[in-house]
Amino acid sequence: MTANRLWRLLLLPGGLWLVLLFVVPFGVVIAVSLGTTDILGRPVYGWHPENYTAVFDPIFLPVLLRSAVFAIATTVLCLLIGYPVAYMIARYGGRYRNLLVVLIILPWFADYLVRIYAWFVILGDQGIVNGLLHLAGLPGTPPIIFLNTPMSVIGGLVYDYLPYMVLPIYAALERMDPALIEAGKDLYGSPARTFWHVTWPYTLSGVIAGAVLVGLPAVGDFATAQILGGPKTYMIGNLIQDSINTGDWPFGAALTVVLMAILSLIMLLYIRSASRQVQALG
Amino acid sequence: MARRIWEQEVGRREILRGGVGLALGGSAALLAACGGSPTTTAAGPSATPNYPKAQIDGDLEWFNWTQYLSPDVIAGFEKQYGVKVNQHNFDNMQDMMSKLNSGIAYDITFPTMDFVYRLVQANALLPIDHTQLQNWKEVPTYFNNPWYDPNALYSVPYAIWTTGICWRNDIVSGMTGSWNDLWTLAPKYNGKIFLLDDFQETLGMSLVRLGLDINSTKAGDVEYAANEVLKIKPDLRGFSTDDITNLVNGSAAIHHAWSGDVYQVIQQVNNPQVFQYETCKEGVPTGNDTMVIPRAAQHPGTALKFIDWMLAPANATTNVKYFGYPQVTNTGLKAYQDNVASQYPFLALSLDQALHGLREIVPIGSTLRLWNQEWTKVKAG
Repeated sequence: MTANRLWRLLLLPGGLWLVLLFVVPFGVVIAVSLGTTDILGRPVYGWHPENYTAVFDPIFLPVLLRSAVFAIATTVLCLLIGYPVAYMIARYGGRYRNLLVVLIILPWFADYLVRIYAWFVILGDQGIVNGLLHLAGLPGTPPIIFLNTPMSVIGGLVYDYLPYMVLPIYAALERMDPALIEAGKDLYGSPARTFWHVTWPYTLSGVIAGAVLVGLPAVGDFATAQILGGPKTYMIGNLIQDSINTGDWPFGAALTVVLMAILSLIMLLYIRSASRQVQALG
Repeated sequence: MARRIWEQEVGRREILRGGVGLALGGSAALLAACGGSPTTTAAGPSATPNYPKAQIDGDLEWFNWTQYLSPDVIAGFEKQYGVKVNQHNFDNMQDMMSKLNSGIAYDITFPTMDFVYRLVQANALLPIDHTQLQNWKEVPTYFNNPWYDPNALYSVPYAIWTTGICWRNDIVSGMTGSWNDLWTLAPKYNGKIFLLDDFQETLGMSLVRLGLDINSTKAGDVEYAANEVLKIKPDLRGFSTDDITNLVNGSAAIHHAWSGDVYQVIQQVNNPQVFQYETCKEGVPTGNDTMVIPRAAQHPGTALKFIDWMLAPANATTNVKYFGYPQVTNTGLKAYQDNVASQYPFLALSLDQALHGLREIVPIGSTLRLWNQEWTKVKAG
């Protein structure tokens, strides 16, 4: 009983944090989304559900679809790149494991925007890659256009979020007893079959966590598309940002609420089906 | 103005603060807006103005675009009056407004004309007694009674600019001094053209090209203008406010651009002779910034002293040489002519031209929604 009470007490700081920094601000967002603004752009609270009608204008559909496609592509690429990295570190990292994990995180000590801007220098029309291609004998003009394309945005997103995929998978792999793989091989499983029937199911929870950590923020990301993007990369985050930047806070807030509702729904469905899968396999 | 200067050092800053800062600042401002009533509207517009006196009453809390005012002029002020100027920066007008709205006590800030208009309407500024300013005589006559601030009761003009087209004469030929150039040359120079990522500038420019009101509130007009932009979109490299970077790093051969930025480009490249700028015969969007004292200011006396300092001839000259915009004082305009326009005649900007230019007025309410929707169509399409 006393232990129980202690645990409840320990929940307080976290709970308070959530209420103050999430529930209250989100309540404000909802209130703004139903209001208007005055001449200074300050929110005026009221009941204007038409802000939501505006969100469901079909002209925004391509933006939403594009965000989803970019996020899915980012998640898949992060998985394809991140899984082998996590696997190598966990299985063959030996005593350098922790060092390697630190190295994965190390670039994140530098500001995100500084890192994104590095791609300008690397991929610009007069950047390093085009310069090397030029040296290698490829004609320098016209340069290969890397920036301002959907690929540069997806590439930027993958670069941004890769550690969020690597770390949970690494954690899952590290927990795994290597003897399980030995056992798979002893039972005449080929490496591929062993991976598919032993390792993959065991790390599925890590993969799911990684996919959620990468996919959801990628949908709402705006800075990457703004910096590395071009005419065909407008994402939902950019739309929200533009609404705020032009002073239409209620519309931006309504978009945010709808986006969060959609993402929460997807996440709930995903977690439910995934946890069933894990249980079934587990 | 920031749409240009913030990116002088490149868009690094722009997005840095424009984007992320906004995300963070925005939510803080939301909360602030929710929590307490802002500091404006203390008295009705009819209340007797409470004129600050031009005497030092503390350190100056200064709020401006980045790199939009000479550090030497600021240092000179600090030395002259023995005060400190605490510099705070914003990245766009909405950012500035939300910080003012949240009640932060800045002593001086630099809104563009249409935002001054709103601040005046909302009685959010302290009045300025011109007899307190020794250098008020430096301000050109027109600005004794500008459209956005009757009798210049609340604002002192700062810098003026135009919006036009910048291009490289080593790549592009066939420019004719018309907004049509963007449409006629788009197929030929596809992938090398940028329009400004600013709905007022780009939709406004498209409206002007069609002979329509730059601030149109008619759905049909704005939709027509948006559809025209969509026609050339496949040939565009992008929409960007980072005109300086795009021109300097060579990704743009033609750029819808701000006059002051062109000067920045010229200063940053090693082939300045290839850059040209034109304003367009269908209409030239122009505007100006101002210096104002927010009602929440704690040191309005120092702020007034600072304004006077900015107007002083020697300081205006130093400042213009630094930031490359015509500062709207008699001396500032002359310094611009002597140091910038004489060298680059296409950057010449007479006061007359500025006064007869087209004013972009930020849409609000249902018009804002309309413009945003059409702009989204342009960007999402």
